[in-house]
Amino acid sequence: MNPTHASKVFSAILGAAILGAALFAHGAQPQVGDVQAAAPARFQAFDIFIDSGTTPLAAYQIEVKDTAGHASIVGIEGGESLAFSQPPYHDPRAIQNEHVIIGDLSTADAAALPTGPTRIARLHVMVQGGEPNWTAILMTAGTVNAARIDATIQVRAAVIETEEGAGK
Amino acid sequence: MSDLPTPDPHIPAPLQRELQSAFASLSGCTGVPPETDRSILAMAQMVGIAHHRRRARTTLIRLSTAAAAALLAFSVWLIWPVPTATQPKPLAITTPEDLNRDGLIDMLDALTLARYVDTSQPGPDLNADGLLTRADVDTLALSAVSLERGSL
Repeated sequence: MNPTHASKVFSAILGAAILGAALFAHGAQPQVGDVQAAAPARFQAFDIFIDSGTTPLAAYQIEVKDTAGHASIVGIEGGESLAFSQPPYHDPRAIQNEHVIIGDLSTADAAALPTGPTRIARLHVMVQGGEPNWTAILMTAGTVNAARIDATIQVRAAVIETEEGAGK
Repeated sequence: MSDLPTPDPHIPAPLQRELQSAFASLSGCTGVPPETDRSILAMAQMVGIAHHRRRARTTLIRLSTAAAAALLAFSVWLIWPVPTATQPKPLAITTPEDLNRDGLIDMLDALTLARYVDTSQPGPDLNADGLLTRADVDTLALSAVSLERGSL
């Protein structure tokens, strides 16, 4: 290949690359019409359950993430048991994020602590573009003397009861 | 092969005649001697065989290199440690927050500190306000649930 031909080929490739970059940048900019094409957002709630068997649950720490990336956490609510009825500890950066670590503790007597399957928190999320795929890890669970215990966890779509008692 | 060179069917007959006459006038013979023809053919065959062997050797070396690279990549993949995301990452050193000395800062430490507060036992003043209160428990618990401690 002679130098003149090589420079022509190089110029052609460079021109094509610049044209491609310009077209890509134009396509990446949000267009006025794109607003209507975006998938509609909806709000959903997901319950997090822990089952500590017959051992009273005094503390827990769980990591939850939507690996599909469709959910954005908008609120975190406490659980059904009086011992864990307040919203759990969490990093504020988890809000507007699909990833959170929640944890809580109770110094109540063993009789006041939950056993068996119990809802310990509810995540309120905004879902857009598809179904969330929740992955949850039990980082730790403990009983009254702060001893580590075995437990299982589960994330389920919440069934919210209205005042009239109808589920929605 | 005959003693006389075989006429090439792709060369037009007039051109062939002219070439033969020109060659005959220069060397005094009617064509390439048969023994020369045979030796050239033998040399060409030897060169061809050597070239074929070189190509086969190069191909073998390339295939061996590719197989060795694939084997190396597979071995690395096999022995590479896979992170098991089941527990928080243990600390390299013990910190004041790690009250149960298990190498982790988690809600079990916060529960331990909360019991210290409830029973007025001495414990670490994590928010440095000079007092051991529920605020120290909150500080520890918020540290435990920091997103940096996650493994997902």
